[in-house]
Amino acid sequence: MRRSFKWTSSLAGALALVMGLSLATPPAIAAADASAAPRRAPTLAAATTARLATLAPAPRAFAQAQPAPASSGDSKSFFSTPTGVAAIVLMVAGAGFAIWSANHDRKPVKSPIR
Amino acid sequence: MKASTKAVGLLLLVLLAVPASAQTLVGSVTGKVTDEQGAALPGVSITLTGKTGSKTTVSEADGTYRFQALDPGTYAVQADMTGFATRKQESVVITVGKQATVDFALKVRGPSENITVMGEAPVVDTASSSTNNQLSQDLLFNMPIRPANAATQLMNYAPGINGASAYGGDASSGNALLVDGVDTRDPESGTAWTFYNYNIIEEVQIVGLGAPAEYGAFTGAVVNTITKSGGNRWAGLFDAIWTKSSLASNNLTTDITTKNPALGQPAKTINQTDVTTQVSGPLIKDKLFLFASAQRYHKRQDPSGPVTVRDEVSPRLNLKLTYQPDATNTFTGHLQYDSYNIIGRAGVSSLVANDDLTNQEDAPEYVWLAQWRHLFGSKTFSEIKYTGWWGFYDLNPKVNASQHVDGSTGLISVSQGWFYYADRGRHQVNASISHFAEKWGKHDLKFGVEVERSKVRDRYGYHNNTYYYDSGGQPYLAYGYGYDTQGRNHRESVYAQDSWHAGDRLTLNPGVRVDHVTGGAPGADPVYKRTNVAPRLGFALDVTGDHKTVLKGNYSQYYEGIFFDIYRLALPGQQPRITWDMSGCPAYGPNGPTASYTCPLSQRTVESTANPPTTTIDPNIKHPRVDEFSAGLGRALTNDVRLEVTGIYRKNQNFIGSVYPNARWAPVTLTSTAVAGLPSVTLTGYKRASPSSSLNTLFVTNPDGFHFLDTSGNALGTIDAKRDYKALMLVLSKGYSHRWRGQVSYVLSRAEGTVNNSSEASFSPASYSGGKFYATPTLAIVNSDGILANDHTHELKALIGVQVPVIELAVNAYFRSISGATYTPFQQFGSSTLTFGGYFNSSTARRPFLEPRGSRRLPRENILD
Repeated sequence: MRRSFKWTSSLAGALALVMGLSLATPPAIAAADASAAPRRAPTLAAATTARLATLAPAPRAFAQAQPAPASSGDSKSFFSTPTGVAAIVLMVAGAGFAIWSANHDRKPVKSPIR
Repeated sequence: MKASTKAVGLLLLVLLAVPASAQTLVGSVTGKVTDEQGAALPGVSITLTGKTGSKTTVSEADGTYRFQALDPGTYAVQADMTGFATRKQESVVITVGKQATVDFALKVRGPSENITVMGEAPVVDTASSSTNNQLSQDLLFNMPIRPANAATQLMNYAPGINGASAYGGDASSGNALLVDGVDTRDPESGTAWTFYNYNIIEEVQIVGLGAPAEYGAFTGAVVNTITKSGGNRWAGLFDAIWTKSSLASNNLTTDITTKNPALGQPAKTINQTDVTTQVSGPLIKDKLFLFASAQRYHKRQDPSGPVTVRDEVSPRLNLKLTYQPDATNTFTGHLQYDSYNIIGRAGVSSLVANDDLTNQEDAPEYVWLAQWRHLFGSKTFSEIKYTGWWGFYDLNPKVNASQHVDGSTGLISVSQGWFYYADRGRHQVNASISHFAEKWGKHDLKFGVEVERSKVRDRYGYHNNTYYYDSGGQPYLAYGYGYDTQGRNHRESVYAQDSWHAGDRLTLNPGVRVDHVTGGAPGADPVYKRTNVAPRLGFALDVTGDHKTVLKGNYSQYYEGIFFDIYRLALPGQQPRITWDMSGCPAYGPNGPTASYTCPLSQRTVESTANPPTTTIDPNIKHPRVDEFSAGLGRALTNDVRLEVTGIYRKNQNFIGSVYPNARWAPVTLTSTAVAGLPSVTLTGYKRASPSSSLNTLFVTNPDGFHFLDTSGNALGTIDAKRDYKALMLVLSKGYSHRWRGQVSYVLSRAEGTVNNSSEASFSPASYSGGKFYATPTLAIVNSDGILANDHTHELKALIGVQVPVIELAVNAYFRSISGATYTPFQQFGSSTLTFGGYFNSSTARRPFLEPRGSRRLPRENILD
């Protein structure tokens, strides 16, 4: 099994898979900028106490994971930008070069006892 | 000195930053919510948002909250309560094994307040007594850290570590090298075995000062490499490095090459292409995440010396899946395949090797990890993982023939003549449970069990079991030698540790680790068996009570792992060393020896046969360890600037070596030959004064205190096996803000003793090719005490990065300046002067130091990248 492993073809296949996945599923744009507000420093201890008194008990359980804000971007817009086009061109060219050169390397040496 | 490369290559593109997070080891966030007057606020909704989603909890009656079992990465923490202005802390960095503290002081909501974004999180961990160093993905990616595929290279960027010698420890085998928790060291000797693509690194955590009990099997540092994993955002990376010979320079001066002609032809890279493509993202949003990486590495060199081509092709594939079906369960699977396929490795000294005297390496391997993490509410979680790796490392001669060395000229011809086959494998199961308890203060408890099973097989031999030693161009002598040995390392470990918050300011870190280690032949009773108990005691005091100043101290014992080299000499598999008189063999042709030449056994005369000594292991032997004392003060100077001062003292114990208890020795007055810069000196060496049969018994023990005896049985010298390290370490670090970041460190240190820290392991019984240190007093007690090789008295390291406005160009620099390593002149004396002999006879046993160890120092090393 190990002796018959041909890494060049496997590598080429893996690179193709990785590239396919890269291009088939566009990246998203990061978001989640929180709006900053000016700080204030009221000293309302009585108000704090009053509000505490009105609080309803909150659940203690660890909540279910929620979608991350970072996943909500419009990913298609990235590839319509000059940077996105350049990214696609370079990734395709680079991965293509890697696949090409991997298939033009010398034949790997194999230990005769394996 | 070698030629430097003017331009290493071209970094083509970074499409998007691959999102952060890892899997096996985790950190946590805790904090307290109060109102403006400092009164605890219970019931506040706390939301933690990371790359794989958000989690929510509520503050307890005392206002505290906690998130545990968090993958390393950058998070945002938000506190919400009706009637109060929401507050949000962004850029909370979670690192492995660390607890971040984020406190909230909520204000009653004003008429226009929505969310208040707070400043940077505190940069000082006031709840941990350990001193860790992290190389984050951010640093690895932005700083000019040289692309390195080995933890032993990356660790040198941390303060107190140079040449893989961590805090004065042994560079070759003293460090635990973990990848996602998988111990990737060679179970034979503890050296690095499995390497990785530096592009898959999420974070490198370097643990060594005040390491908690969950870390074991090291006497230097733990280098814990966390690999990337997928998140809710699709991301990709393409990285390429390329260079060719025309981009290389030769910085050797005529003066240097005149003094040492062997340096006249420095190694040169003919061509190199190193291409990596990665992708990560959600296969199922919030549930299933993918990380995949493929690397193609090809490097073709013209090495230094007569060899013309060294060619390496090393593909590497990584696939990781992270599945979190719900908020309480996370499953992670990671598989790496890589291979090292090299031709043109010099099989003899590179100064004389030519293309025929090289070998070919075939070394594939698989590394795997399967992990399940389960949360039992917000206070308890467990981790169970099965990890391991498998691989072999074969070196075959390019020319399948025997080696011929001419005794008259010293020239080697025909072939390197030997083969080496190494089979390795490791299975490891780790299970742990972490629990937050409130009893006499607050406790972060962790209990764990580890089971390791690793295997080693080493095969070495001469082609046709013959190594020709010619004289005058004709057959004269020949040698036969080889071995085929196998071993099994077993380790069962349990540990318990606590981070006991005894008050608002004081945290105690007690722990204990118990390792039961055995080693032996497959299917046989173990020949080595030890149970080691390692206490860990530490404290951290929040001096000012505002999480900005910490005073900490530690006492720890760290035991080394179990390795085949410790007990291998007590196992079968070593062949006799045979010497043949070849004067009756057919003469060579006019062109000298050829690959087809053979001399049958019937035409040889056995001149001598040396059988391996009978080796026993001291039943009271102790396992190597290092004792550590450290104390430090950390202070947050601003919200993102931290200063730490740490004092370190380490003392190694229980070195293992082999001695000849029946040998007797006689002093010999030696006078060295004067050479330039090294005048003749007179010193006392020792030659064996007992019959050679006295070397037939070998004893593996802790040699410290062993007496070498003279012919009358009187002690003429005692082994003092020691290695000590003292250091004062200052680290000033600044997180990224105002467009720059940086870390500057200075370490003043001294590493001294009799056991070196460059390549002499804490366990070095006489090996097949060397390791004679304790075997003869000539090496063990003559000028052996002094300054160790990795003693870099003054060490200055700086990582600085600036983001230039307008053009948004990042300018980053790394500078390192360290005192040069020490060295000691020696001279090899003749076998008739310093008689040694026996199965492990070697010229290295006849090389006494002419001056005290470390008497000389190489020039200061300065690097600016």
